[in-house]
Amino acid sequence: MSGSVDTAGISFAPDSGITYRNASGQLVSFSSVHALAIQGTDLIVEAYGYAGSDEEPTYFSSLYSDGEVSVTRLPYVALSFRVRAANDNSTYAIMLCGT
Amino acid sequence: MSLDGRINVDCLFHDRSGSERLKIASLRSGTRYTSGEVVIVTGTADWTGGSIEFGGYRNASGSLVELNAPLRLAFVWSGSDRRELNDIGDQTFRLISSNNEVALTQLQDTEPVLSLSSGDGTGTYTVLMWGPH
Repeated sequence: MSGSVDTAGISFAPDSGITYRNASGQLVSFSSVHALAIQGTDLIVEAYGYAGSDEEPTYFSSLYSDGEVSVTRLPYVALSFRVRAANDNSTYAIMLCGT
Repeated sequence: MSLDGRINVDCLFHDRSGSERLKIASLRSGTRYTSGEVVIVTGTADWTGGSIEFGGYRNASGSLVELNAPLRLAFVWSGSDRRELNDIGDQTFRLISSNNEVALTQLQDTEPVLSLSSGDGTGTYTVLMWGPH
């Protein structure tokens, strides 16, 4: 997915909030996301989810990109991703890999 | 003293619908570095984790390297159970690795304060940072 954001950012869920369609034209959703890659301008992306027996979603990971691709794997099941500009406005591209 | 290096990332998937349609999902960047400085540290950790220091790293000329504003950071953990590399300074990024898969982020012009999380098992970590002079 790609677009632009400001410092307030946007959030989406991997099981319902993705607008990307696959080659068959179907909206993509994930039960589990294993890896996150981002590329943007002055961009921060954070992943949240349930770790073990936690009752509240917790912070999993965050990456920063200012032109280059940043990438990490993710633990457990990510429940939401927050995409925001670090300072002003940012463009973003996000790739999720999982099942 | 000279430096010549590169950081390449190539995420590429061919998403096919039979033989009729193909969508390509791709994120890639590649940068060659011919100036600046690099530091790398490797160590072993048990379940306790702990802080990661670069203070004693020397370059090919034998000089101590100080990166005051590194811009790229790569992290690898060898174990099958994931480990997190946390910045506990101003940037608060978190990278996760297992099975020698590289995690990589850009940095925001400040020196990170690095801490390896606790976790199951033992393994080897490697952290590499590049920054301008």
